[in-house]
Amino acid sequence: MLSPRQRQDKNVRATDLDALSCRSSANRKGYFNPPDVYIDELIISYNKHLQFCSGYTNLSASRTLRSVFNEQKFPLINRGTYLRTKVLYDLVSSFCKEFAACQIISLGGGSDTKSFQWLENIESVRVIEIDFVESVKIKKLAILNSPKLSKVVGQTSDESVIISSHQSFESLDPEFHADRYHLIGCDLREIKEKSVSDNLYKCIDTSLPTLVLSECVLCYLSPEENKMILNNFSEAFLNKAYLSFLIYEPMSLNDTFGTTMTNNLSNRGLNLYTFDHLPDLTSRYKFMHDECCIPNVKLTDMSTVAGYEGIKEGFKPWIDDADLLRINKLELVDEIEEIKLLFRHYCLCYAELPYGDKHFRSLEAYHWRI
Amino acid sequence: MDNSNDDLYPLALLMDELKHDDVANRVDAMKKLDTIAIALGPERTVNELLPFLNEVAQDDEEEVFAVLGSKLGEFVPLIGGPEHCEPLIRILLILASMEEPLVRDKAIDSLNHVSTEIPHDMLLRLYLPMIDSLSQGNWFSKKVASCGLFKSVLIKVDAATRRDLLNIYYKLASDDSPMVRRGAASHLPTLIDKLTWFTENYPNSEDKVDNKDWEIISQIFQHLINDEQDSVKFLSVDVLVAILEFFQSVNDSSHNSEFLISSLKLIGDESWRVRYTAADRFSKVAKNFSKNFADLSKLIDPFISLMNDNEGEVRKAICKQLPEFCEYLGEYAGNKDVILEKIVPIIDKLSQDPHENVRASLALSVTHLSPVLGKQSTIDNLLPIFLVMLKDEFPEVRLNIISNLSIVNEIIGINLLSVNLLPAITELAQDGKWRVRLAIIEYIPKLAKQLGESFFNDELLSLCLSWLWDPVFAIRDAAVNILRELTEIFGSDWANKEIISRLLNNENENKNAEGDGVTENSKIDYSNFITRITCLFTITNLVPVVDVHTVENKLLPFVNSFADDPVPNIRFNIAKAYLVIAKALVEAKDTLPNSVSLIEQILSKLGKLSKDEDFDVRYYSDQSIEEIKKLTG
Amino acid sequence: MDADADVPMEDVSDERQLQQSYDDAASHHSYQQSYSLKNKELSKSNINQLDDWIEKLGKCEPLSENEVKTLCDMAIEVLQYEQNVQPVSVPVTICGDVHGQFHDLMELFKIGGPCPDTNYLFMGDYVDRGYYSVETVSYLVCMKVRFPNRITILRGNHESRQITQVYGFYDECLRKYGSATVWKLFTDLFDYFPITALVDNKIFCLHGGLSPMIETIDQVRELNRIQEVPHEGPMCDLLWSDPDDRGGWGISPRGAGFTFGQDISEQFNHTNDLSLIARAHQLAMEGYSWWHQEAVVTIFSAPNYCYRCGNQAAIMEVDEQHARQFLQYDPSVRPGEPTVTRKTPDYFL
Repeated sequence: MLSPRQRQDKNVRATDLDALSCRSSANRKGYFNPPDVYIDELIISYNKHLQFCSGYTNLSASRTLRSVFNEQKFPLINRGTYLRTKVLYDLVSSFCKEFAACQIISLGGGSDTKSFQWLENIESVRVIEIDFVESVKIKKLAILNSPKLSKVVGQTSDESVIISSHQSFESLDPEFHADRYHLIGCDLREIKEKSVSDNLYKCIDTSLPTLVLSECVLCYLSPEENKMILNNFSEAFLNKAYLSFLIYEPMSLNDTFGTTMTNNLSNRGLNLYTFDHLPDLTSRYKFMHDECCIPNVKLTDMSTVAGYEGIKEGFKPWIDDADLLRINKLELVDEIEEIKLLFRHYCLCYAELPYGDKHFRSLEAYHWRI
Repeated sequence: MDNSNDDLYPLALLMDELKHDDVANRVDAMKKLDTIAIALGPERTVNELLPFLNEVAQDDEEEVFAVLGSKLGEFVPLIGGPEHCEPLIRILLILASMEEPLVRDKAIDSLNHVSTEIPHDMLLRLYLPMIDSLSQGNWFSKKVASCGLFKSVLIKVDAATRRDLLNIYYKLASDDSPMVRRGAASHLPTLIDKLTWFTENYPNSEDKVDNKDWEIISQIFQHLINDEQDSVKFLSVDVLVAILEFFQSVNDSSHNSEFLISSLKLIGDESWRVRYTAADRFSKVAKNFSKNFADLSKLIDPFISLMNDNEGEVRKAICKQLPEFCEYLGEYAGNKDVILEKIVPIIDKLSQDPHENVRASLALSVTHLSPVLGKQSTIDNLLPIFLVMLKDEFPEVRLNIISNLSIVNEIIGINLLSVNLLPAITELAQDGKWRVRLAIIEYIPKLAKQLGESFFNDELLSLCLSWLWDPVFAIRDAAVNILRELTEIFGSDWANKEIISRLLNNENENKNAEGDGVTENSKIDYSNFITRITCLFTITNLVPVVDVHTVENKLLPFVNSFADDPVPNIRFNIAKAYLVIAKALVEAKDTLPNSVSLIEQILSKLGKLSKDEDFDVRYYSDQSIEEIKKLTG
Repeated sequence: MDADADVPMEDVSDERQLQQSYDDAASHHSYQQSYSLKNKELSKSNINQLDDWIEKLGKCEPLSENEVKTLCDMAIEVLQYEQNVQPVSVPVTICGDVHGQFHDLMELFKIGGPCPDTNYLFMGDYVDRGYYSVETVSYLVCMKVRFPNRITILRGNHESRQITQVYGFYDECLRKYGSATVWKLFTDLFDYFPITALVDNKIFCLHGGLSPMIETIDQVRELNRIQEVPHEGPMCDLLWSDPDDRGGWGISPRGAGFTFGQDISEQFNHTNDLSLIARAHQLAMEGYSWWHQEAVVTIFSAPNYCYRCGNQAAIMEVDEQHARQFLQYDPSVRPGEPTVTRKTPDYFL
């Protein structure tokens, strides 16, 4: 049985299943081009192992998985999932191209597959993924049991790992280390603790230009914890290498949609701490720039990124017309106004701490609202 | 054995439902848990159902847990009696240790219920160790759960064990986690009530509650009242109330001075939540001092300080206590002056409090002071306050005053009250939210009774009629209905003169009733469909409550005049109206000689309508013809 | 079917045409009348049955599968004789998307008045998204069969086999009936729904918007509407298009229909002697929104759409003089409504 805090964390971890099921749905509908071949490998791992995670039983795990994966996703969710994935993937890829030898630290990436694609497509990149211990174990088991994934992370082994009980799952070492890929299980809220940070910085190369990616992760933490985590990285890279943060998360905009979203998510036991606290792009700029002392901060919202809004004001969409035309043909979308409304409530933030004259020059190629 | 398959079939279905993917289905199935258990019989319930439920209790939704938690409380008979209740208690224990208060409370209630169904020795054998181990649990919710279980054993153990229990409770009340201390504080009043009950019922028991027990309780109370966390401290107000009730029940007032000190400490606490709770329970505390004027009067200044509190919530809470506290005070001669001199000026101030919720709360209670103060003081001191509040910008304040005016009315009579009532009502009547408008409409008949006909006619009637033209149907509909209720209050002549003639635009006939030129504006424009149909509804609705001559001379001709309306919706409502009129005519056939010919006339009109081009008009005409023929035989 | 149409209507309507201002309406009226008389009139037992169903559905209790079958058969009898451009008389209350938000539909009737006393014109999208599509569409179809002259129900782009499989109605039918039969019955029925309505020859009402292939209302009359909503072409456009700030025709981001500018709307209204195009299809935060300098209005009648959007809803009353009044309303208040049956709407998490 779970302690109160464990239960809250379980709710937050369950959002990883949401994200995975959304990517899986978009993938099945043909949004990803080429298709994502890694998603199914992670689903297999979840199907096998979720029941052994704390707080789940065989009964509840299979129920959870069915309810998440069997339900059809609306086109707006597929489209939003694609745009989010595509935009973040492209931005990070162009970062890697510009900096050549570089490092991506993905926070709370859970079952995200972008890391595997970067490893596959970009030779000089190092990827470090950090998440809750159990999420990391599921991913590690996916890698160990999937030839496809073992190959892309560059570490194949013949022995497959079989987990058959809560105990054997519990005792599994969460970490996974390959040449260019590291999987670390830790609770980001404890990043200041010596054992945690020692373990983390053992794998992180603070001499490499680095991008820290956070997709709907920091939003579950308080602004103080956000600041503490961002500062922890900033200090580690201070005077050593270029560091930037790429953050994607929802914001309330203080409107009725935001209020409804707060209520709906709290029904699921989810509290978005930064949602109301940093309700719009301006407050987020202030937070990143003034409070977290990050000199160069760029912000925009997903509706603008996707070209649903802002074109008249001169903001160019980040998705090219041909691609937009392609996805428009995949599904009839009867939710245009809702899409605008929903996307407007998600912000994208790029914040960098330049090192010497190093600065992400391609950033200017993208249109930001701030 | 053959039958057993038939029996098992619905059972299997129910078991499947318990595993259903949809939470709603699982909740519904869980609600039938007793049915399942009965079908299974005790043995299989213990061997199959309980292990399954044990797994469910590991991970499911809160709603399922809550139902499971409460259902299991009734399970002792279903598992063949107390001897198999251990696995049952184990499941409840899991649920009771959860942090969701809803689940925890249900499970604790069930555990407490189970405790009443098992033999005494078993109770002690199972519950005492359970309480002990939970109270040392590794996370707060276990300790919180233990706090809720003390009441199952506290007065069923010998004095020594009881003291041990109270000592464990003391530890809980001084636990590091505020959540645990809060749990201890919130269950303590129940425990004290148990001790009170025990003392009252077993005054000579060898295990009776004595000073040693009270010493521990007093220590716990002192701990709580001095807790660093407001969220714990505020609960000690209820503890104090429970302690006061105990000493009252044993007629012991020797500690009153200490209790007064504690009361004053809580009332004057620096935390607003504590003051809020003290304010909210003020009269409960005051009651215990109400027998002694010297003690009671020491509460007057604290009461006033709460009314002057910086926090709106505190002021809101103390406003609710006004009637009761003033009643206690009023029992001592001369105290009316104290109320007038000390309390009323603050009420006056609160009536213009910056917080609308404070004003709304005051509005609910302030009218109740009239009986305490009597007629002249109400007129001199309270009425001006009422009038200010009737003009409040916040609708709820006005509604609250209006809804309680009958109390004031009884003391001072309506005339004094009514003068400034009108603007308040008029404004509510035009509120932007239709549900606020609806709320005031619902008070109108009550007000009409209080105000009397002539005042009503002068001041409120045109307002009532104006609701008939509201853009929202629900308001028009409510207006139609209150006009009928008003007719029941004021009578047929009134309706005739004041409503019907206006709706029929025959106002010129009694222009003398109206001196202020409103007549021009109130001329009804029948070119609008909604106006026509609303008039028709109003008139039809009045038929049963006005005298039959009015029906004959006014209403029937009015309805006739619409029979050729271009809009079918009007025509089929005419057909419906004819039935209502015919019913009234049939009922009045003894007093109305020409009722038969009138009904004939109606039938002929309906006959024409039953050949209308519109199906609905024909249908409702045929319906009405059929019904009328039934009525007339 | 024609055997019952034996009432000589002309006399009655002639007699009635006294007021000059009603001339238009009345001539129209008789046109509609002569049409609807073609179909079989309801028997008394049918009416009683329908009244029972309406009462049951009014409590948000779905009909049985057999009852739905009977209802749909009756509805086809009524709807097949309606026109592509169904004439509607004033006064009428025009409503937009409802989307299975049954309790909000009941709120709508509280605001606008109950049917049949108030005439209603619904512009489609009864199903999908909300949790009570089955009850909502059953209720409206029942009302349509019971009071064919009092309520008009147009087809929305969601009244289609394809869209309902994506947006929830199909799943809801499976969940509530255990099979797709009811979904099949309703989607077959949807093919008969009229696609546009013309209120007193002046207000053109439809779910989506205009089509580059339609210049006159007569061209709409020529379409064969009794079919699944096509992926393209004029019928598709009428159910899918949106007005836009940009002039001319544009590609719709929805993947079907077009966007049309003010020039197009004005031309269409001019050509067809219209005062207004009333349409639904798009979320409007205030419940309605004007387009193209009041040449087009969007009406949206699902408050807090999808339990996610936080919007108001609205309906538009048109009186006999064609004066318009918008009535806005919020989600219905349902104290004690259990939240457990509700799945949280999706977000990106």
